[in-house]
Amino acid sequence: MRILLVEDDAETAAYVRQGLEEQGHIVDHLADGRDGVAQAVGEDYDMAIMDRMLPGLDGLSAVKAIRAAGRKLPVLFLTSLGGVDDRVDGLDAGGDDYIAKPFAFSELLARINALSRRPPYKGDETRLKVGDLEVELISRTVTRGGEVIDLQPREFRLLEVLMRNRGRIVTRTMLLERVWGFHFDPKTSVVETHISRLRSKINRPNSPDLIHTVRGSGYSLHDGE
Amino acid sequence: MASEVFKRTPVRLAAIFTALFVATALVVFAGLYVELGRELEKEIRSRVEETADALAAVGREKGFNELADLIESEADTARNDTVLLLIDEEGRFRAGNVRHVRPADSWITLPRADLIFVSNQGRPDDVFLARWFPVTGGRLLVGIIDREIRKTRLILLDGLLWALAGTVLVAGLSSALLAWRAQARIAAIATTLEAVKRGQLDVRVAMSGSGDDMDHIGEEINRTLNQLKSLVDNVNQSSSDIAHDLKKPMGRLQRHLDEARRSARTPEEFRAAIDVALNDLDSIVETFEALLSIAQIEAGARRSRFRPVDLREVIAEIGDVYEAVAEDNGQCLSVADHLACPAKIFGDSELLVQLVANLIENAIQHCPRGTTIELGLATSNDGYTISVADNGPGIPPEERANVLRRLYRLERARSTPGSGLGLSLAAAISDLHSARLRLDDNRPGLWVGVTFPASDA
Repeated sequence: MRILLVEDDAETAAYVRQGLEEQGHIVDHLADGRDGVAQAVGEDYDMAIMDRMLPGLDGLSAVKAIRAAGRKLPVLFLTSLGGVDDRVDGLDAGGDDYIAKPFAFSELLARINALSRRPPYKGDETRLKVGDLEVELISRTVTRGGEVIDLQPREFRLLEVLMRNRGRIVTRTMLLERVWGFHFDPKTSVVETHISRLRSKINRPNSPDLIHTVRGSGYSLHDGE
Repeated sequence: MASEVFKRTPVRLAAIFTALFVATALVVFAGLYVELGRELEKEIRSRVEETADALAAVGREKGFNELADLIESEADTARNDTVLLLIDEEGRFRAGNVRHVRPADSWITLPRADLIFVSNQGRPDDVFLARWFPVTGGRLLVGIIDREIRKTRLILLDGLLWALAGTVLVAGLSSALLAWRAQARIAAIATTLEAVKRGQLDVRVAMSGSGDDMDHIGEEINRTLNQLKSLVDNVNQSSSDIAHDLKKPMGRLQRHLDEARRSARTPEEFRAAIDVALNDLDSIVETFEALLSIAQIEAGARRSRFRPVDLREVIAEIGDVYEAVAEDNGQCLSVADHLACPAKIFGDSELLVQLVANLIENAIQHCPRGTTIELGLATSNDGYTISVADNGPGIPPEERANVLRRLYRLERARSTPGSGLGLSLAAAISDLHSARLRLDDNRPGLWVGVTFPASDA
């Protein structure tokens, strides 16, 4: 992917750039908000990663400008303004996701991967399928090898998020936000508990475990290995 | 120096009030002076007219010569306070105690000094109020002395002077006294504030106890000082709390890294050590984030995002999430929604979910296996109460009030597992919603309730 990184802190920028380049992405880095807007509008990027506090033009205004110019590329805010209001402001301004610094690279990567596939697929999928596990989004039914699995609404939502990101890592934080609307870090094992319940419901004795725990990162649903 | 004194509000007020008293007194006396003078003059004129009428009647009935004789005999005895002059048709003198007064048609004033024959009587500055009257065979001048007017005026002036002196004295003294007292209290307030400025945050303005406006100002200042002191204390306490809170995980991080450097040999061992270190860092960042969230919530900016929220949905959702968590932890969480209708309040649903989650997580974390936890929603006159009740170890009564004190909570929570800022955050979210967070004995166990004022949302 071609990723535009607008970040005025050289160290963070180098860290992000190196990590993304290791993943095979092409990264252009700019330190000024105005330059960032010009670049995002003038060139064709698959995604932009924006800081909030930037010289030239602040990140919020920059994203508004990019949206005003008709650019629909996914924008991810990566900022030390991590307060509850700041996130809402960022999303209101036209950002697609929001990560507060300090951050784990695995979290950033998981969110970039989740965002990268959003535009072409979103809304088009009515049926998700991994191995012999199928999810019908409209009738909200789940089957494994043709056998219907009865899920609670939240369990269905959890499975849906994992299925939409099949083959990719979904972090604990992403699940908390997307499944339960929690924008805080619970002190108890909320995610682990519900993943374990879901797992026991969708697993079949002679079929492979589809939900994989990725240590230190999150979960991934796929039928490989 | 004098101008400095007059800049003081009480002194200036005293001066202004004294001047006002004097001016009022002057106006009253001036009115009295003019009115009384006019009244007395009217009386003298009517006496002049009565005298003239009587004499004219004598002339009419008994003839001019008889009148002349009468006046001749009266004039001499009356010349102290009355002037009489009778002239004939040709203007020749016939009788009287004065001479050569030019006839006129209106009232005239005759200074005694100008009058022959009477000038050696009475006081030289006496004035006669006189008028010419027609009588049979000639004209008659009658005048009466204005001594009464003058005497009354003198008495009035005398009284005025005394009264003014008294007014000035009383008003001056009492205003000076009041000003001095006010000044003393203003000086006391200034001294207090001066001490506060120097850093003595414990001093307070002394009250007179009379409940007057200086007391009100003093109370207001003391309230402000209390608030200031608690803010400063908070800031001081917070910084040392933050330092404490961070020192522990920092020390742990340092220890772990040091251990890794000394004993790790293989890349796997190093990787494991790094994971441990990252975990330590996570808890540090978490503390910072909790502190920042509390600060941001307390700043109140989120009120602008308030929307109608149904508390029943909030507790149903939390119950949904945490029933399984409690079960895995060997506890039992049940939801008791006692309401039949939606419990709508005006609030921030994201924060309300966090608030209830916090309370539930506290119960799950601090209670042993086998504990029953009940998440309830009830309505009362005060509004809606969300409660989390457990039959675990509870909190001793003497500690209960302390736990709600913002920084004490931090202190206490530090000795128990968890980030320790959960209750602080819960209290901050409650405050933001004007809700009351309360701890009580559940006999046995802890009861935590958040009462939201009934709203029309």
